[in-house]
Amino acid sequence: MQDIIEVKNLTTELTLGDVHVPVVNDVSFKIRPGEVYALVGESGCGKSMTALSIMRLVPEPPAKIVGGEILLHPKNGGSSNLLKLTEKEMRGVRGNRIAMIFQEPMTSLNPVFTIGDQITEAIILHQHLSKKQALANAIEMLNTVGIPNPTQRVSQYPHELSGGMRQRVMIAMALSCKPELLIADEPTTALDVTIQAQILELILKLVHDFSMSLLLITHDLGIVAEFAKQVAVMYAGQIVEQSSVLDLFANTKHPYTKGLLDSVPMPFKQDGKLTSIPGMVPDLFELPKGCAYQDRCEKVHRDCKEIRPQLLGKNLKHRYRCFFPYAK
Amino acid sequence: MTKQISYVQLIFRQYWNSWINRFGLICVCFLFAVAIFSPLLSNDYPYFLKKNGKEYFPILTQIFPFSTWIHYADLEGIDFKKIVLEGDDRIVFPPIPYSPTEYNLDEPLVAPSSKHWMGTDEQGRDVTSRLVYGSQISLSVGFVAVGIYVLLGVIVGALAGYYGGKVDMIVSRAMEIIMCFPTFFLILAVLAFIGPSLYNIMFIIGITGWTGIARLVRADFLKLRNQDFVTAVIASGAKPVRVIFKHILPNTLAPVMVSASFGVASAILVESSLSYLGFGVQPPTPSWGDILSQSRDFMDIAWWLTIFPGVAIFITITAFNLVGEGLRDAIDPRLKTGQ
Repeated sequence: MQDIIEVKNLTTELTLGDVHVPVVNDVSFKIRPGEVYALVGESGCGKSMTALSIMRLVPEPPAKIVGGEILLHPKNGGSSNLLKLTEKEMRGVRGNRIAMIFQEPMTSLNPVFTIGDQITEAIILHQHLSKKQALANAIEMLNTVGIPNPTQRVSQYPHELSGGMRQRVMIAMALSCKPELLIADEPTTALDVTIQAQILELILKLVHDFSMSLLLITHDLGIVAEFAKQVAVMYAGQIVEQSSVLDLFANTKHPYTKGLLDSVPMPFKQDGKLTSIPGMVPDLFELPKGCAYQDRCEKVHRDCKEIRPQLLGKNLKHRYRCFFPYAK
Repeated sequence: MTKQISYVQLIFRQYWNSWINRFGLICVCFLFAVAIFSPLLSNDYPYFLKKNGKEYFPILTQIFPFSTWIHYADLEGIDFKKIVLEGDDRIVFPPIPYSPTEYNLDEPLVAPSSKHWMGTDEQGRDVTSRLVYGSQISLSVGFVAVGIYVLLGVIVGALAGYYGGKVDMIVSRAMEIIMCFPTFFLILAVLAFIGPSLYNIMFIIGITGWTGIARLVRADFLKLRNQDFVTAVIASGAKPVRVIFKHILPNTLAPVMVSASFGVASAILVESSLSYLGFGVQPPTPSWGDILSQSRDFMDIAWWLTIFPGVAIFITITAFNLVGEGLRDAIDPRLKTGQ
């Protein structure tokens, strides 16, 4: 089956003064139609930057996409490289073919407009409907995302809604033009635990109903295990392990992935202590020679300090960036 | 479900909470009413005249000077104040039955009395009437000049803040240069070249005053530019113009309004100062600064020429500053006293 989006060797650099730092370094992945692809990693590992690079929304300056390709393959053929489109063509892609949900529902809605105004805006922009039709669509979308009394809610302001409701509105906005790819950047991080599952299930249900693909950015391996099919683990701007979710959990290769898995809290563990990865994420401005994970790795070897490992693996289905992977 | 109130309503409630804000707003509204209705408040043409069984509304010829449908041929050249009333003839004058330019050399420098509430000047013109008409000049200078510079400042500041980088660099340096000019003397110098007139004053205040607003808007845009909702709007495919003026701008308007209301006060003050120096509105057009300027020669014998326009300027400036301060407090979320 044809992939819906193909990211090839994407590199985004941050420039401060004369120093160029790759915050997204040689990232490649493919997402199939209807697939949920997870991007996992700690804060500052480049997950969000990857998402913003796909939308071509990196704050420029200081950041800049310096290399790679992002190929969007529409269902009806005729693929295009998003990095080569003009700004005007790109506006036709944003919101229409690729939509995005952000982490903070409290700040992602404009405080001075009603939610109806904000949803209809995107609809009118891309589908050229009349205001009345667009409003009817907006109400229908609000209904779809499970907001009670949508006809009254459309005329409310964001401050009158709770965090979960606002995230539902954001989802309604993102899906109002039925995009082919939805990027959800930590959509539940800012929400109450009780709401998180509801919102995720809603996103998953709608992704399925509208037969979209989902790029799910998260740091929660529980979510990955439950919802995603393919996964890439990122560390210091690079993908360190990339496989199907089943493979990643059953056959962990990279020490960082192992560290992440061990850090998941286990309520029934005997000693009652939380495990964590020792040390800190390295400063991107002072990345060590060799492997970026060397200072925190339990299997670190002399070679790791000298040579930077490439993304490799016996087959392309499971790739990892390590000289001394865990055996099965 | 709680009753929905919009942002504007919320600010207004917050504003109305304090008596001093109410006082400021009422003063401003009063000034507006006086300025708008000055031809009705003060006029040497009577509202109503009944003479020889015929009824006239002479004031209408003053309010609609170019209309053709009101024309009283038999009233031409008549002096309404000396009209002789017989039988059931009646005449009703406005509360201040003088026009601002109507001189009466028999009554120069008359002290305040029931006939002339605030006295007369050296040509026997009624000071009350001149003050009432002067409010038109003051308010129009204040609002037009501030309108010009708010528009300029918002556009320039928004572009600088949104695009940042080189645009911001150039605009910021330009603003710093303009801010270094001593504005008042610049205005004096320019007026000396292009001649003093009401429109020139508005124009010059307008094009020199925008830097304050621009800096305010720029700073807000720099802050809002990276807010999630802006990214979200761009991510839904909106054009930059739309993002700037529809989505970010309304979020910065509240502080601009505050700044503008202070700006109105200072523009009125500048106009009064210019008129006082003789560079402002030219006589016989009544202006508060102009009345003050005349009063210099008679300060020891005619106190009313100094006090009343001075008080009028003082109250106007204070009222606009109170409104500005009240608005500033009302939009400050930290001072919210509950909904």
